[in-house]
Amino acid sequence: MVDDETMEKILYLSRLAVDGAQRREIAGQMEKILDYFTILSRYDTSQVDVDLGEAVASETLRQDAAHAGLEPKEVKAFAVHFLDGYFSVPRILEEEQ
Amino acid sequence: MSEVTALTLTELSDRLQSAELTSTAVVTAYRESYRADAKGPQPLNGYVEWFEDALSQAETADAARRRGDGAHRLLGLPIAVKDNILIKGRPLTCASEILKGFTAPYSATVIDRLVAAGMIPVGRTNMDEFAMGSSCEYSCYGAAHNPVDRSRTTGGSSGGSAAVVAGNQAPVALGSETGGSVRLPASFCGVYGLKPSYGSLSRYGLVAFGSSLDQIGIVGRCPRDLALILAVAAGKDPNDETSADTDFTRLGDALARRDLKGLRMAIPQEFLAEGLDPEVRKVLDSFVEWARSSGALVETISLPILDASVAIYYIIAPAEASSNLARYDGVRYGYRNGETANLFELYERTRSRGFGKEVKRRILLGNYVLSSGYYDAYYKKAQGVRTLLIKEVGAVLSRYDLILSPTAPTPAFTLGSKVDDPLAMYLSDIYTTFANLALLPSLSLPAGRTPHGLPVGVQITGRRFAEELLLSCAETWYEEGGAR
Repeated sequence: MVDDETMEKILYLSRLAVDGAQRREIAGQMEKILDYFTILSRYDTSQVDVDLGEAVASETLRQDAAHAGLEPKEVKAFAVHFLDGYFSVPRILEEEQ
Repeated sequence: MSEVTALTLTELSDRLQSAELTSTAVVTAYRESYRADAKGPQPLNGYVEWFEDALSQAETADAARRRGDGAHRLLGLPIAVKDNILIKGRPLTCASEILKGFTAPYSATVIDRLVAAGMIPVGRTNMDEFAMGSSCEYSCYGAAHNPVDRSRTTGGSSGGSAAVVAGNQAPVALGSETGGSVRLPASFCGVYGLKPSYGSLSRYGLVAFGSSLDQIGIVGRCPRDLALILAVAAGKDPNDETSADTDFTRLGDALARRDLKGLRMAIPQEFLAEGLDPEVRKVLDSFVEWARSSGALVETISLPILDASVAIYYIIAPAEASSNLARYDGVRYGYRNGETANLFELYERTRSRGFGKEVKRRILLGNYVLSSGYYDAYYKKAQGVRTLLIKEVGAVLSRYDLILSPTAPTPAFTLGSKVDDPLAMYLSDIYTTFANLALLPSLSLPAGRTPHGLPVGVQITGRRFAEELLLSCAETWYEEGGAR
């Protein structure tokens, strides 16, 4: 059941705001989808060790060495709000009262 | 359709090498095909951008070929690229408002390799936003239209890539797969679509959706065209630890057809159950008849766990997406929603206005199945059943060479018919997701048409890294007349 409280919680986790009719519509659709997922209860997974194929062998991992990254001018090209070589964001710290 | 745009990539390559054609003529022909269609009453809307400098790159390629300094067979050939694969210096949006204004700072490894061989990316193709969809309707650029019947969907999410290949606007295109996004549009549009094994193609530079499932795929008009691209693009990439040390270079010279005699194929009866359109079934049956008459052993088997594949997929993929898409916060990429008082508001407003409906739905679903109180019941359960599925599909493939099935339960459906019913849309992927979950290569080939002329695809799935077997069987089908 995707009730108001649950919806509020996952909207917060998702950093999304949805209100009114759209919220009710999404909650209804999610309930239908979650109900479909009950098909998984047919399978006993209590003894299953999750295994998604062979793990990456440690010898194939990259060396722990620094490589050149993007230059500030390259970052500036894709960042819409860029100031003095940094991403620009709204104020984070509140002003002292 | 000009004579040039009717040719396959392989035929174009042959004619460039014999100097019967120039790259300039080829790129011009495709550009004119795209432009003429775009002016029509109902354009395909397969491209979201045509690269105007493609022609000058073609001229450069022609000059290089004239110099004769060891030209690769792909030199000067055009390729369309899905709008979620990075090409350095080009815009990239994943068909989302939230990425408008973003320019790729580097190229995907697959692009680097194809460009190094001389290929010319000619445009970005339409897609469902962030590759989430089965119809190419969830796009900020509007839906792509099926070239066979423009009132119908192309399938998705790589609908633009299939539309431009089937609509003679590109000889070949890159798409991407998380749960069937190359094979489904290939089936709907009547072309070949390959999802390589997980690891065959580097994911570096492919915008992440579901990282344990994502894979770049190829759409083309014949199996040899897919092989040509795979031969160059595959192989280990230090920038993607999950890439495999595969070597398909031998396929680039000449993909050979394969004698089907003795080949063992399994059809899961679960894929023949209720919901399968009778016209699709007829096409599958005639393909089976052809395979048997060619000497293959085709048997119907039972693999009940396949009934769980859509549920597993729609838990794991949204869970991974909710994490991968957390990076779109209005700070680093593309769109930002105005001036806000604090960071939380910035994130919330940007994401709420930047993401479309389906993407929001999947982020919410992903956060739901990962959240405290639901994690074990959904996410952990799905991971457990996925493990069972991998083992059971693996057991079938130890007895059979291929799993054979329809690619989709229906031919292309009409635009708008499923867009407001997410579960109905998800069930379009009912036959495709198991290959992604099990990390296997899978290929959709055009197997026939319905009485109304709609294409129907048949899907062959093999053991991990058995791409050559899939392509060579498809080549046999193609050479013997295929669905033509």
